[in-house]
Amino acid sequence: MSKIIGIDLGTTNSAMAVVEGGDAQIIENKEGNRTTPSVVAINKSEERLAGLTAKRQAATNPENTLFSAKRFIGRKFSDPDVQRDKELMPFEMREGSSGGIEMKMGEKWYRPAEISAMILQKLKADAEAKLGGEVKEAVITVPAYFDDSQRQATKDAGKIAGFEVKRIINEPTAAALAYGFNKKKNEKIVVYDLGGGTFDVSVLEVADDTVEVKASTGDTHLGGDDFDQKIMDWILEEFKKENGVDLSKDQQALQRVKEAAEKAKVELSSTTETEINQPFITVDSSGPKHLNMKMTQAKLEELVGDLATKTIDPLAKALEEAKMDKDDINEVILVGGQTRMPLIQAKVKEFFGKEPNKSINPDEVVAMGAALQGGVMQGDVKDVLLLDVTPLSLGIETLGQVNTVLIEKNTTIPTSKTQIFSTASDNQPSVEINVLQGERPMATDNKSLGRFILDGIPPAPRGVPQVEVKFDIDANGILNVSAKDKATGKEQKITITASSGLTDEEIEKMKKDADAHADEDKKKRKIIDEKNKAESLIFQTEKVLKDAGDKVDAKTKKSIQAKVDALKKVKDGDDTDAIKKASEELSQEIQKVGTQMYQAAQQAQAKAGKPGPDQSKKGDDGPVEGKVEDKK
Amino acid sequence: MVKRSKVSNKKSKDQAKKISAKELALYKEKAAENLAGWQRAKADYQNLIKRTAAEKETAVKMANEQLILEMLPLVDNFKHACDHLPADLEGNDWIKGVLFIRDQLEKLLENEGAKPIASVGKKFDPEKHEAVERIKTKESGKKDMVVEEVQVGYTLRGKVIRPARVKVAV
Repeated sequence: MSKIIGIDLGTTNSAMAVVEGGDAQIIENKEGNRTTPSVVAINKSEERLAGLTAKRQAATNPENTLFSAKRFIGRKFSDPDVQRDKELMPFEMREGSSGGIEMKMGEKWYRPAEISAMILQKLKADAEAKLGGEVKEAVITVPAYFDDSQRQATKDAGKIAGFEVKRIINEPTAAALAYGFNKKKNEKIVVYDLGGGTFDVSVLEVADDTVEVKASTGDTHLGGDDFDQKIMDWILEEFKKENGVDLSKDQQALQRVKEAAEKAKVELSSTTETEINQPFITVDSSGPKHLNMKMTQAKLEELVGDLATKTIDPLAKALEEAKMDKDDINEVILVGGQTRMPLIQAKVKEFFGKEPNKSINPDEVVAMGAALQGGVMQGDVKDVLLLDVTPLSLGIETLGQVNTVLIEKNTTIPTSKTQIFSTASDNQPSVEINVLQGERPMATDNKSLGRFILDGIPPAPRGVPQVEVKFDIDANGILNVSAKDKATGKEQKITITASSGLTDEEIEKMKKDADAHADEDKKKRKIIDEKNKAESLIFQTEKVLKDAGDKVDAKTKKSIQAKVDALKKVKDGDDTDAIKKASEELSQEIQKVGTQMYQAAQQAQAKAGKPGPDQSKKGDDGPVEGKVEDKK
Repeated sequence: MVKRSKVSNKKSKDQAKKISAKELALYKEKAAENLAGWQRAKADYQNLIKRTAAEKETAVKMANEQLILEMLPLVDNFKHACDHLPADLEGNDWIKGVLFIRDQLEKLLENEGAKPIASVGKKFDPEKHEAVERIKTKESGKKDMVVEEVQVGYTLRGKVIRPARVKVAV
C-alpha cells in the first residue's frame, strides 16, 4: 500500500515528508535537496522545467519563468493584493474567466493552480523515485488565512498533479502536529512563522478532535530576504565610505555582496563576530579593491532591529482577535528559517514570557506535520502505538559498587536486553541483583528499583558461573528483570512497575546531577576499574603459580611474589596511577612463568623426540562477557 | 463430586457459544488490526535499515562535499586575483610562487574527485549552469550558448555541487 505524503507547498520553496516507522522524515528531491524551489518555466525548446533547474535559467528567460504562484492561487484578478503583487512579477498576467487569474508561460495562459500543479508533479515524481513505489495520496498545507476558494484551488492543483488530496490542512496546525501538541486538549498555541518572504502569526486552540484556528495575522511581504537586504545596504555603504566606490553598479560584485550578507547573517546566529572577506571584489583605475570587514552580532541586531520589532505588532493583534491574553498561551512554536536568529527568538520569548519551541527544523516542520497527518489517516500513527522511551538508564550493581547499564536512556520501548554476569569470589553460592535507575556510574548515586537473590549456584571458581540477566520492558513501561543460572537452569525474577520509578522532576534532576558530576564520577569509575583489574590479576597470578608448581624456579617465584605484594599494598588505596603501574609490572613479571613453562615443555618433548608444543594462544578462563558480581 | 445435570450443562454451553460468536468477531478484527500494524512496523524497520545503509554509503561518498564547497571560494578568489594581475608583475617570482599555491589547491580538489564544469562554448544546461545574465546576440548560431563564465561550477563524483554561473546568449 502506498504512503500518504505530506507537502508544504510554499511561496518560494516547497518540501515533502513521509512517515516511516512512526516518525516523519523529509523526502529529498532528485537533486538530493530537502527543499525544492517553487519555480516553473518553459524554455525556448518548449521544454518544461520545474524546481531548481527552472530557477537556474530564470535570468535568461524571465518572462517565461513563473514563481510565487501561491500569491495568486484561488484569488480574483481585481483583488488589491493581486494588483500590487503582479507589478513585481516579470511574467505576464491577465484576468481569466469568472474574474480569476491567468499567468503566461510560453505561448499559453495558465491558471495559478496549474502552475502549482507542475511543482507538485515534480515533487510526486521525485518522491516515487526515492520511495521506490507509486505515491497516489497527499496532504497539502495552506496558510491559515486561505479562504475556501484558495483552498479549493490548492486541492485542484494536487488533483491536476495526479494526487488524491486526502486533506488540506493549515500550516500552523501542521507545525503543532509535528510537536505533538494536537494531543494537549484545551491548550492555546501560537505559531510564529517567519520565512524568506512572508510572516504569519496564528493562534490555535486544541479541541477534542481538531485544532481550531482562532486568529491569523501577519505581513505577506516581510521575511528573511528583507533582513539580508539591510545587511547588504550597510556593506555597500561602508565600502563606499572607505573606498569611494559604489558596488551596486557592478552586477557581479553585487551578487557576491548579497551572498556574503546572507552568509554573515547565518554565522552571526552562532558567533558574536564574523568576517566578511571578498578579495578583488572590484577593480577601478587605481587598481583592485578588496571587501574586508568585520561584523558583530550587535551591529546586525542594530541593523535589523526594526524588522524584528515589526513582527511584534501582529502578535498583539492576533491575541486580540482571538480574545486571549499572552498569559493564556501555553506553547509558542517557531517556523521558518529566519526564526533561527537569536534576536527573533529573544523577542518572541520576551513577548510571551516563555521559551518558544524550536527543536524541530523550522524549514521542515510544516512538511513533517503534514506527513504525520497523512500517517494518522493511514493508521500509521495510532495513539495506542505511540512509543515511549526510558527516560533514564537501567542497570545492575556489579563488583565495586558500580552501575553497569543494560538499557541506555532514551531507548525506545518495548525492548529487551540480556547480558551474562558471573561471581566475584570462589564458591559464591548466590548473586544479588540490585536493579538501578540513573546515569551515575556509582550504584549508590542512583535509585534502586528493587533487589532479589538468585541462589543455588554450584561451587566454582570466581568468574566461572554464567548468570544470564535479562531486562525486559513492555510497551506500558513495566520492567521485568530475571536472572538465570545457565548451569542449573534456576531462575529468579522481579517485576517493577512504572510507579516505582521516579517522577518527571526527579528524572530531570538526575540528568542534571549526572552532567554536573560527570568528571568526578569518571575518576571514581576509573579507580574502581583499576582495582577490579588488580584483584583479577592477583587472583590469576596466585592460581598460575600454584598450578605451575616446580616448573617455575624459585627465583622467578620470588620476584613475582614481590610484585604481587607491591600491588596488594596499593590496590586498596586511591592512587589510580600507582595501581595501574603496579598492575603493569606484575603483568610483565608473570610472563616469565609462561616462558619457563614452555621451555620446560620443549625440553621434555625434545627428550621424548616428539614435536614442539602448540604455539597458539590459550583462551581466557574467564566468563564470556567478563563482569563480576558482588557477593552480599 | 457433584454430578451436573446434562440439560443445564448444554444450556450454559450454548449461551457461552452465543456470547463468544460476537466477541470472536471483534477479537478477530482486533487481531487482524494488530497483525497489520505489526507487519507494517516490521516493514518500516526493514526499509529503514535499507535506507540507512544506502544513506551511509552516500554519506561516505559525499563526506567531503560540504568541505569542498567551502573551499571553492578560495578557487574563485585566486581567479579574481589573476584576472587583475598587473601586466608588469607577470613574470614576478613572488607572484609565480603564489600561483603555484593556487595550483596546489586545484590539484587537491581534483584528487578528491571535484571537477570544474565546462561552460563557455557549451549549450546552456540548467542541470549544470545557472544563468546570471542574458546577452542579446544577432548570431543565431550562438543562441542558448554560454558566452561567459562568471564563476566556475564543480561536480563531485558526478554530482553537481555548485552550478557554473554563466552569461547566456539569447
